[in-house]
Amino acid sequence: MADQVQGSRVQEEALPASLEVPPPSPEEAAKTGEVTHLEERFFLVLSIFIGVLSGLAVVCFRICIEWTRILILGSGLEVTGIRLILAPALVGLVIAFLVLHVFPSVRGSGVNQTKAALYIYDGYIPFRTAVGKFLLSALAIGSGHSLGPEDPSLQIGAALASALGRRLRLSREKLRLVAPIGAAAGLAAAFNAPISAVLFVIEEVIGRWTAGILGSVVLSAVSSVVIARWFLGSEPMFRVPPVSFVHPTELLAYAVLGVFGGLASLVFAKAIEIFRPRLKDLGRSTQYFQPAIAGLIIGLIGFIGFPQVMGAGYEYIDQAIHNQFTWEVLGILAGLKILATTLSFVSGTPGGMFAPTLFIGAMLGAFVGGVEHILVPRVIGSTATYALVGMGVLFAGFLRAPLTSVFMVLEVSGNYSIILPVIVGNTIAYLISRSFQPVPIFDLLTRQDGLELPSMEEEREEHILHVEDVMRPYAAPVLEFDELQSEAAARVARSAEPVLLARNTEGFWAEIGLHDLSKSALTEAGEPVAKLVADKIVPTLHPDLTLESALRKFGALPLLPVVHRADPRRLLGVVSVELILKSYRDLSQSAE
Amino acid sequence: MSEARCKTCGTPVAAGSSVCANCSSQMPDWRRQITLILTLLGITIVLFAAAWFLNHSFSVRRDALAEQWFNDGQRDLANNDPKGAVAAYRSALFYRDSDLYRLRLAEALASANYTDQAKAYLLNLWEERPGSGNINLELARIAVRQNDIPSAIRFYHGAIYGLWDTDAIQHRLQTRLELIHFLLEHNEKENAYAEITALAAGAPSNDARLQATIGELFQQTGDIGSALAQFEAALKIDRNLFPALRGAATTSFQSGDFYRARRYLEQALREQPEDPQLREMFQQTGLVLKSDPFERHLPQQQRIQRTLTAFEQAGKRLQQCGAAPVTPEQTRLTASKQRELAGNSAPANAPTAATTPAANLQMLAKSWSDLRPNINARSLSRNSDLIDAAMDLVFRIEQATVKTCGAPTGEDWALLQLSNQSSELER
Repeated sequence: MADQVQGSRVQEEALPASLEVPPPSPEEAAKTGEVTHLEERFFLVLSIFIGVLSGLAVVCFRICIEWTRILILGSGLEVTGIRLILAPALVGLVIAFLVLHVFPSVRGSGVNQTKAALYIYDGYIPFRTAVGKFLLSALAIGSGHSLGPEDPSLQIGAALASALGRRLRLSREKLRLVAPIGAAAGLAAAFNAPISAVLFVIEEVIGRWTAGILGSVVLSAVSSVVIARWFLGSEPMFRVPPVSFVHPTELLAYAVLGVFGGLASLVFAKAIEIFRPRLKDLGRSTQYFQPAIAGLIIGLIGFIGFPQVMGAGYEYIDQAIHNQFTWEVLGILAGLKILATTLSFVSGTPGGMFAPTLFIGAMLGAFVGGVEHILVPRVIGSTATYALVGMGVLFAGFLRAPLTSVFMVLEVSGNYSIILPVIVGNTIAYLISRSFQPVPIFDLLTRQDGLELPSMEEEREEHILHVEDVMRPYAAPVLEFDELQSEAAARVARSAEPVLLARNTEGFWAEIGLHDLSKSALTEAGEPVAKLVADKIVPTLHPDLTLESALRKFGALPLLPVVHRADPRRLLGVVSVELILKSYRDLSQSAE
Repeated sequence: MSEARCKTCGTPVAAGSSVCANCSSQMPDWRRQITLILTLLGITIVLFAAAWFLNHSFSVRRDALAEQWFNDGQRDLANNDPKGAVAAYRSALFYRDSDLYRLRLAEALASANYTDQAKAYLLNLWEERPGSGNINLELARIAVRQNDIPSAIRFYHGAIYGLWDTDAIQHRLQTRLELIHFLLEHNEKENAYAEITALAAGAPSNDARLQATIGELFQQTGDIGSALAQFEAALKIDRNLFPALRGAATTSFQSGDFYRARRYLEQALREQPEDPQLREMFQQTGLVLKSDPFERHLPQQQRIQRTLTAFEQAGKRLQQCGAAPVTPEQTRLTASKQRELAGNSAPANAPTAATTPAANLQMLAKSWSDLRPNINARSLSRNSDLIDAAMDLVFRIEQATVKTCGAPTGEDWALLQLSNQSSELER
């Protein structure tokens, strides 16, 4: 079914709507254009409303998480006693029951569900999902499960937008788009970082840059951040002290951090890859206890002296940035957080992976920085710098969103001087993770869930065919518009090309069949070719044009000329639809 | 008349309807859009109000929790439980980001001996607000703990010249005082002296206690004159202020101004009669003044008597130091013997027997013996120059015997003080 939906989507993209219906009259076209224009404007306004509503939802979500935490774990930052062990376990039981009986679609982070809504379900996300995600994620994170609020915020935003779109009876095309728009709004409000949110949604959910989508996504993200800042304050997520990049040789130190980050990402991803399907296969009855057992283990980790791994852990990221832990503790916290988050996530507890990823990255970064500081005290920068770079490194390595990871660090730190260390560290982590874990974590999760969604990483890296890859030489003389038809017919009499190309002095090209020319030359021998081809002007292609773009220009034409960009009269070759299809076939065969 | 078509499926839509019967998508028209926008606006306003209410309730709760944890931290710190205070302040900070909380957390961290953490915390704060007096002061205190003198001085100066939210003058004075004590403890007397001078210049002229404190600080750096001036300035404001009286008495005593010292000591002992140090100083002062033959308005008889007593005491002191009266011949022989022992290699400026302390004592003993027959009541009453000559010899003997026999006690000590005073006057 997924393939069918995807197939129809590709078809829609390839063939403009105008080809499916009879061409409208000028009056109709004007009216339709007006309607389209109105709808576009309305959609932009709607994006702002989606942003505002998502922002409000995320504000309430954040407050609920904190309130839940206070109610369940107490108001102190350092939780102690038996409550520490029992609270996540007992809440785990409640969550399991609700997930299995009331909100079955709220398991996991929510990013994939949003992608599935876009690619499979025509933008449909049940409103119940938003409610369930809101309540259960707040319960899980508030009780100490090692999960974050960002991915649920993303899904809450997407679900709200989807519900709104359905209520407003938007067209199917727009309904598909509102989910990612809501997702961007939710994520932006949760992160207080609009650029990163927009990039993430474009990079991981939508997967393509088009002006129409980008405008709506940006509007919704910005309006949601405005709302979030209105209520929660405009302070950045972390109080980042002035960070600096001291010396170029320090890049080596950040490269080491990139290696550690890549390996940690690998361990984290592999753990989820291995344990998630196994726990799912254990049977439905065990799923009642899986979140509780995960909660019990996390509580025990807290009880033995590491309560920092519980919950989203932003306050501890802040402490790591401010050099509040020794390097030994930082290393232990990074390791335990991987364990705790894996347990929470694979047990099916609703909640996100963004915050834990940032936590692990910050601890790992500060740990590596601390160790390097001991080994090479002279060239090592501040702990804050390492913690920040570490966050980006894990984001790049684990979530495999390289562009977002860079901007996320810059946006969170507000300091562009660390861009070099971030790029170096992130690139190394990304390459290591990609080498040993070919399938990115989000794609892995969708495949484990039996869905076939487009992999954004694969799409980014897939080989794109261009006109120059398929064009062939033109095997006939090119006719000139001012040439007499009799002369032209004589020149091409023995041509192997069934379709002839003619050009004028301005670089316009036209097509005419060999048979038509021969026939016309008999009756209008003294007339120029221009008279014959005046209504047969064809679009031209350029060698660097993608085949997808080229296909849009064909219509019912048998072939199109490929001309030089600087000299439109210069013919480089020709391309036909058959050639394009053949090249795609060859590509898929070679891939197989 | 042209008919509208559904943009999604292309099917013609019935006139007057904006809903596509085929795919159910809705053709927007401007009237419907405005209605939708107004509806959305209404929903947004309602949700905004709900979110505001929720956020407000939670903010109130957060503030209450922040206050509660902050107070717990203050209590823990007061109860000497810095670790508890650290946890409490961290919780308070979780609910409200406040510079005061952060500062207290840093203090608690420092008190709990998490000095590095406290320093890191404060440095972060300092980077945000390098001109903050509070933050600089806390950093200075951490530098003091770490015995990092240059950083301590830098941060103390940052605090002195920094911004304070309240009572800036008082904070700056206290910080400078703290810096001075720190410098004196680390024997940085020159730096300390500069700071004390600056403190004296900026101190309020009506604060007697502060003036007295500054006097004590000057006293510690050895500037007795400035110290006495500060103590007397304090006494002008409050003439019964005991620290100023004690300081004035002590500095007068140290400077050899025993008449002034006696006056201040009498006043100080009226305030604190049982102070043993003052009592001893008072006795010593009395002894000095009782031994002084040059006291103004002293009857001639007493002046002669004091001279005779001093002369006899000096002779005893010489005897205690093992010096007996010698002849000039003996002195010459001793000197030539020493030159022989030293041989030709002795440098030209090598000390001769006459310049060595022992030989000097011998010379003084001889002088004393030579003068002795002339020192009696009758001669002194006839020739007042003899009093000067006798006392000059007494002073020289007391100065010389200090070098060979150590510090004197009793009357010899009193004569030595008079001798010092005399030298000071000559200078």
